[in-house]
Amino acid sequence: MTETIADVQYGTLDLMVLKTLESMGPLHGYGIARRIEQVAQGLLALNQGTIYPALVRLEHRGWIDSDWGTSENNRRARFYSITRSGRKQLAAEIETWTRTVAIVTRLLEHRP
Amino acid sequence: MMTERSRRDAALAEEIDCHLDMLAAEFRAAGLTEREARLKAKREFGSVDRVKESTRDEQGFPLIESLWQDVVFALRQLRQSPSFTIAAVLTLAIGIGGTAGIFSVLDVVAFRSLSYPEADRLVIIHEGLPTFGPFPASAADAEFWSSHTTSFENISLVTPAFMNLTGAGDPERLEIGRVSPALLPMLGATARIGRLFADNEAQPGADAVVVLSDGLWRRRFGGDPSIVGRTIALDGAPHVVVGVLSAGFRAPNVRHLYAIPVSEMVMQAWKPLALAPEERPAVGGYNYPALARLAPGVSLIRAQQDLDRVQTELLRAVPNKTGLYARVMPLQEQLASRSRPTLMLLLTATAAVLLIGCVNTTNLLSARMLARRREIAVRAAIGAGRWRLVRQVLVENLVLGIVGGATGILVAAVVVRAIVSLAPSDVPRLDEVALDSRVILFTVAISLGCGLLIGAPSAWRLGAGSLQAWLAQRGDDAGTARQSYSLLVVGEIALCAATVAVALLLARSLVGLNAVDKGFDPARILTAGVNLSGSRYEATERQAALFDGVIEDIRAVPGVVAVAVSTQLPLTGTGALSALSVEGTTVSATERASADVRSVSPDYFRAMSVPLIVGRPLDAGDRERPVAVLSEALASRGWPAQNPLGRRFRFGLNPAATVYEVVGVVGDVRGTALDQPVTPTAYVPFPQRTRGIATLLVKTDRDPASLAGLIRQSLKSRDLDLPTPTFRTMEEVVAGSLDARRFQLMVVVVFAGLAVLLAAIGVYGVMAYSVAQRRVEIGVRLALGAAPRRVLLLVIGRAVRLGLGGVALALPMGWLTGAALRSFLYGVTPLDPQVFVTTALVMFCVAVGAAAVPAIRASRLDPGAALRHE
Repeated sequence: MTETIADVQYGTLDLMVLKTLESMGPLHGYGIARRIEQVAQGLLALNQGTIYPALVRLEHRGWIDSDWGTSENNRRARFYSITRSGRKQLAAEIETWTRTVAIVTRLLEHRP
Repeated sequence: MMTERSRRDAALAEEIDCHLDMLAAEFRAAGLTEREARLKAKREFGSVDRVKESTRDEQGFPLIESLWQDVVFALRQLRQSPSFTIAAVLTLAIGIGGTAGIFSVLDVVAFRSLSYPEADRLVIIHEGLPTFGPFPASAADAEFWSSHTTSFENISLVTPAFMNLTGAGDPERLEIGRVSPALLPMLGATARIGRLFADNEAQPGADAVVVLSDGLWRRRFGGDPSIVGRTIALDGAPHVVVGVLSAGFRAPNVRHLYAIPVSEMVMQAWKPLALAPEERPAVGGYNYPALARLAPGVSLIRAQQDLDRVQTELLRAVPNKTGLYARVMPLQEQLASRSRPTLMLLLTATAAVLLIGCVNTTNLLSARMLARRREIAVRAAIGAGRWRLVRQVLVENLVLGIVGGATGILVAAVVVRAIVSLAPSDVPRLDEVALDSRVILFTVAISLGCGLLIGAPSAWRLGAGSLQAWLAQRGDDAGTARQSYSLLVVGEIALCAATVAVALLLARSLVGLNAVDKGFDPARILTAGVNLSGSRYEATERQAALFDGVIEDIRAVPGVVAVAVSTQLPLTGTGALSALSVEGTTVSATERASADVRSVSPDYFRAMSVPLIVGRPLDAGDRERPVAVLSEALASRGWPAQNPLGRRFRFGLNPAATVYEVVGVVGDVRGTALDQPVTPTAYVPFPQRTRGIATLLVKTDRDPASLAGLIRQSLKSRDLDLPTPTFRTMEEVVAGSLDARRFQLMVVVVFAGLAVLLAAIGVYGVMAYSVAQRRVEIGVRLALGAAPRRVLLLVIGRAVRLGLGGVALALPMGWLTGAALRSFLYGVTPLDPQVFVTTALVMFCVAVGAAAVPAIRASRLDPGAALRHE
C-alpha cells in the first residue's frame, strides 16, 4: 500500500531530505523528491510539491543552504546542500532512530 | 514596488515551474505526449496553490513586514494603558531631554572645534615662571619668537582697552580690541564693508584707524554704510573708520585667553596694536595674549620644541629672565578648560538622573510583563516562536524609548534655553549652542540605548530559561523577580543619594565661601566705575582734579561716611602685577614676590573697613610722594620677620625705577576671588600708576543706591564727555564673584530634586508590587491576629532597608569620584561626615514617605478578600 508523504510525519521527511543531500550532494527540489521516491522503492509516492515547505523549514533551522544554479534543462533552479549543523542534526537523528528501532524490536520480540 | 514578500513568491513560482518542467520531461522521455506529460507532472506534483500556501506558512512574514507589525502592535499596547505610558514616557523624557540639553552645550563648548578656519591649528602661547604663571606674553618676546621660529604663522597679539566714544550722541565707553593686523584675518574675520588692517598700521601714529563690529555698527551708527571713511572720536583722538566686520564673526572672549581671572569683556571695535616703546620693555610687560597658527605640517610637539629652543636663545640675551618658559596650547583647549569641569559635572548629574529614570521604567515594564502573562501564553500557544516574543518585547521598549526621546527633545530645548540664559559668563561660545543635527543624533542614540536597556531584563526573562515555568508562575512565586527589582532600586537610591550629597557639598562650599573673611566690609558701599581714557586724562593731575572735586561733592551729602577712589575693586580679578624688588635684595628676579598694585585715595581703607596694622594709611599729602602701604602678606614676603616700616623697594625689575618707602601695613584682603588665597597688595597714592579706569567708592549709612544720581550729576558737571559710570553696590560685586558656583549649585539642586522624585517613585513601585505579590501572606498574617501596625512597620522596614542599602552603596561611589569633585568644593571634603549623615536622613525620609501608601494599604488589607482573591 502506498502512502502519501502527508501520512509520514514531518520529522521523518526532514530526515529523508537531509540524508539525501548528504549522500547525493547539492540537488534541486525535483532531484530530492525523485531520489527519496527511488530509495523508498515504490513504498512511498510523494506529492512532490510537499517537499517545498519542508525545505523552507530546514533552511530556517540552518540545516540546509540554498543557492541558484542551472538545472539539466537549462533553467534557473535552486540547489540545496546540507550544512555542517545539518550533518550534526542528521547524525543525532539517525542515532535516535536506531535506538528507537532497537528498543521497539526488543519489545516486540519479547515473549513473556 | 517589489517587497521582499513578492520577491520570494516570484522565486518560488519559478522554482515550481522548473520542477514541473523536469517532471514533464521525464514523462515525455517515457513516451507520453507533451500534453499527457504535462498533466501527469501536475498530478504528481500536487496542487500548486496548496504547495505555495504551505510554503508561505513555513516562511512566515518577511522581516520588515513583521517588524512593522511589531511596531504597530507596540503602539497599540502603549495606547491601551495610558497611565503607564505617560509615566514611562515622562520619566524617559526628563532623563533623555536633560542629557541631550547638557550635551548640546558641552558639544559646542568643549568638543566641537571653534568656528574659525582650521581652528585646530590655532594656538595660544603663554609665558610663565616656575613659581608663578602662566601669564600672557610680553610684546618683546613675541617679536623675538616671530623672527626666530619657523613653526608658527602670524604670531599676533591682542589686548583689551577701554576708550570713550564721543562726538556722536551720548558719550559711551567702548571695549576695544587692540590687535596685531594679522589676527583678524587669521580668525577668519572678513570686512562686510571697507577693509581690515594693513601691516603698516601697527606703528604708533599710523594706528588712528578702527574697524567696527557688526553689532556696534548697527546699534550706534544705524547700519549706515557711509560710515567707512568717516572719522569718530575715541578718547578725544580722531580715528578713521576703515571697515565693518561681517556679522558672523565671533572673537574669542578675551577673558578666557588669560589663565588668571580678569574681568569680562566683549569687543565692540578693533584697533591696530601699535605699541609705544614703554609698552614693550625688554623685561616685563607680560600683558599680551599671543595667538598664532601652526605652520603647515608642524605638530604641536614640534612647535613646542622649536619655541623652547628660541626661548633659551632669548633668555641668553636678557639675563634677568632666567626660568621664564613659553608654552604652546591649542586655543580650543584654552577656551574650554575653564568651563569643561562644570559642564562635565552637569553631564554626570544628568546621566545619573537618566539612569534612575531607566531603572524606574524597567521596573514598571517588568511588572507589566508579569501582568500580561496570560496574553503571552496565548501567543506562545498559537505558535509564536520564542525569538518572536523576545523581538516583540524589544520592539515595544524601543518604541517607548523613541517616544520618550522625542518628548525629550522638547525638554532639551527648555534645558538649553535655561542654561544659555542663566549660565555665568564663564562658559564660552554660548551663542553657538543650538539643537542641531549632532544633538538630535545623540538624542536618538540615547533613546535607543535606553529602550534596549529597559527592555533587556524582560526580553532576557522571556528568551532564556523555561518559558513554561515562567508562564506557570503563580503570584507569590515571583521571588527572584522581586529580588532583582529590589537590587535595581537600591542602585537607584545610591545614584540619588550621590546626587543629593553633591548638591549638599556644593551648598556647603557656597555657604563657606560667603562666610570667608574677605578682609573688608562690603556693606552699604556704592561703586561707580569711571572710564578715564583718552588724551584729556593722560595727565594724572587731571584725574586727581576730577576726583578731588567729586569726592568733595559727595562727602558733603548727609549719611556719607567715606568717599574714595581706587583703580580696582576687590574680587574683580587680578590688578596690575609687579615684582617687588626690595632695596639691596639679593633675591633673583624670578623669585621676587609679586605685588598686586592698586592706586587708592586716602579714605579707601576707611571706606572698605580694612584694618591698619602698623604705621599709617595714605594721606592727602602723599599724592606726589613715592610711598606705599602694603598688605600684611606682601610685607611678610618682602621682609620676613622684620618691621617693614620705612623700608624701601622698587616695583618691577628695572634697577633705575623709583624707590618707594613703606609707610604702613594693612590687613589682607581677598583681592581676586573668594576661593583664592589673600592677595599680596601694594597700595600707592592715587593718581600714581593709574590705568585709565578708576572706581569711585562711597560708604554710606543709608541705602547706597540712592547716591547714584548724585554721583552721575557730579561727574557730568565736571566733564560732559564722560560716559555714564557703571554702578554696582559692593555687595553685588561680592555676590557676582560667586555667580559660577551659584549656577552649578542651582543646576545640581534641580537634578537632585528630580533624582529624589524618581527614586521615590521607584521605591513606591517596588513596595506596591511587593505588597501586591505578597497579598496572600499578608492576609494570612492578619487573619492569624497580627496587628495591622506590625504589617505597616514590616513594609516600611523593608523600604528603609532598601534606602540604607542605597546609601551604603553611595559611599564607595563618593570615594571613587572624590578626586574629581574636589576642584568644585571649598572648605569641605567629598566624604564630609555631616553631609553624609544628612544625605542618609534625606534618603530615609524618601524611603519611608514613598513606602507609606503601600504600607498603609497593606495594613488595611481585608484578610478574607485577600485569601479569596488568590
